[in-house]
Amino acid sequence: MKIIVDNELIEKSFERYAPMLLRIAYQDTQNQADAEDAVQFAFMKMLEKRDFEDENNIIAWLIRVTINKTRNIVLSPWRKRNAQFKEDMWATPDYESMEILDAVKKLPKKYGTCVYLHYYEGYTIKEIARLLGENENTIGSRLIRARKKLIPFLKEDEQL
Amino acid sequence: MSKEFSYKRAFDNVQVTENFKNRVLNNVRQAQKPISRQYVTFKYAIYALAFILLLSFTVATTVEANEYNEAIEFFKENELPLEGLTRDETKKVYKDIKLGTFSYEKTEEIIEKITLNVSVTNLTNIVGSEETANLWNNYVADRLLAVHNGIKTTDIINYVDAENNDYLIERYKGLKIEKIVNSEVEWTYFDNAWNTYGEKPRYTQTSYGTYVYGVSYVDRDTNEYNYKGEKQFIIELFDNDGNVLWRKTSATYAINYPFTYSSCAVYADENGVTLFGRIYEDNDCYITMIKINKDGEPIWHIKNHYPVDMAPESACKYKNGYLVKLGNYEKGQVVFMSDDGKTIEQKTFDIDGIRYYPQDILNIDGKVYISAMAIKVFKDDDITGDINRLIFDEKKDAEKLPITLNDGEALKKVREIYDSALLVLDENGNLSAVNITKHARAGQLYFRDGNIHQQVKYIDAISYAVYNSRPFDLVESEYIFRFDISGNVIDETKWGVIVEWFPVRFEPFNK
Repeated sequence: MKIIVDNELIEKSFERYAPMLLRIAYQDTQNQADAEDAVQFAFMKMLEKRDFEDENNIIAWLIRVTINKTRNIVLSPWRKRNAQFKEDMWATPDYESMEILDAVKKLPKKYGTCVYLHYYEGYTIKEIARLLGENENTIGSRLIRARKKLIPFLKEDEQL
Repeated sequence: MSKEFSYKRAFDNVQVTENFKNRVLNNVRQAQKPISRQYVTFKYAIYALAFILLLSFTVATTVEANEYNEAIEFFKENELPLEGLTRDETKKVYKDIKLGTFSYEKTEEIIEKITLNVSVTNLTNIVGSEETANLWNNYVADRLLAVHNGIKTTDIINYVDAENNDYLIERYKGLKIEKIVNSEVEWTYFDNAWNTYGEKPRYTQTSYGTYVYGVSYVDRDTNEYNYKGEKQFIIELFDNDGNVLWRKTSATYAINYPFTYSSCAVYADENGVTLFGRIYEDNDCYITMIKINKDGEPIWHIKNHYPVDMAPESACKYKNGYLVKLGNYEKGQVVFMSDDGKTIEQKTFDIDGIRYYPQDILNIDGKVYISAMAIKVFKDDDITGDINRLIFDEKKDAEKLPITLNDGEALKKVREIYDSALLVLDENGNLSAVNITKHARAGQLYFRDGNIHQQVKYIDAISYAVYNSRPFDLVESEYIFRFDISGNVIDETKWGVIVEWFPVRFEPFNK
């Protein structure tokens, strides 16, 4: 049975998924304001949807919209000129965390999203493939490559 | 600190603030009703109209059309998938590859898609566009070396989740063996008896069938194929319809020798097969020669002590016997064995102060072609002295390396050391031609379309390998040199850039 989009559904979805979406966006933007903009955009965009097939469909859709919006923001020429003047309350808590975020940031964007969904949210490769609309082998390959790429940047006991 | 904890802690501060929550939910409530479908439709109609106008305008320009046609040609020529790409994206991908920038994300997607089907072993530590460029070069190389007539083998590897779902394991499924005739697949056979892990099997064709042979990894205790296990030799005979007539492993040919073969060279003719192998007895190395009938049964054998521990890698007919190419890492030697196996001698090729180290051999209609490293002999009285140890030293422990040279100096030294050569021996075994390519390393030989093809790797750059235990990485431009059967160069084609490790210690230079 289809899930009709209304304010109650959006509020419920916000409570459940906003923290995860913010972290996904932040991984790319490394900037609180931009990450919040991307996530707000996703929930406002949800208003334009009539319905969803099921709960999985909602989260997959929200992740895709957030990633796409994040990419637009990151690639925006305006942001490139102004990003350094923005304040960031989410600045990394310590040097080690900063190193890890920096290493993840150096990955191609789609690798970072896979790493986040797998290692932070605990999604399986199969689930990530479904969420991102990709082939399982592709996701597997990205995770392997991401791990290989992170090795030079991380200390031995922190290698993913 | 556990890896999960470190990674997760980096996101500790990323939380939904009250301000943000209120802002989003207020905006949602104020919007109340979903945005008018008519507005959405109208908006999309405007976008569509603008897009159509823009597209019509661009299509109308001849330059754009030509560019697009060129891109399409390029896609077809290289069998790249066009699905999911817009016209503009197609052109961008085309330009990105042609210019060698490899910075466009769609390029990466496409190359990832095509190369994953070709091979899954090309995972490197090179990041970003360099990795994409590397994948592309491997893809082009595979296509250039594609078999038009003969046997093509492809490793089938799957990635699977480990039980704890925290990492992936490569699962080797087996080998796909295809017979190609005029670029068309005549038959295909999937064989899970193989576990090559990248050591590509070789083949030889006779009137009664095709022998496919090579090395497979096997665990002696469990008899299951496992990359941690030891190598063993497999040879199988296919009939002309692609059915396996028999398959034999090292154990079949161990005869009375306490050893299973890890590597073999094969010469096949109308009577059967002559198999050259290496065995150990009391820590001594022996080269064996076994004649096998067409049913795969050994009918005669002999063994000869050999002072150097090297494995036979290829063999061809020569005079009244055989030439067998032995190899071990960078080292290469050719030995002559008479037909009765009683004569065994190392063939050396020293010409004008240069020693040639064979890498591959071919016999075409009685002529022998040898792809070799041409190494200058620095000391007249000690031909196998420091310089050879320098080049062929197998110690790879970076910590023990007395590296005192910078990249520029190291590159100069390495390029001074290496030249690539093609030697041609006539029917009587006399040297009839030598072709040298300066500052390059020699590779494999292929016979195709009536010509000899030699892989030549020109040394472009050298860099200290920071992330592994190897002393240096070599960056090489890989060429295929085409020779006629007399050994004259016809042309050369660049087909990619490769990165290889370099096993050299520089200690002797500093003495």
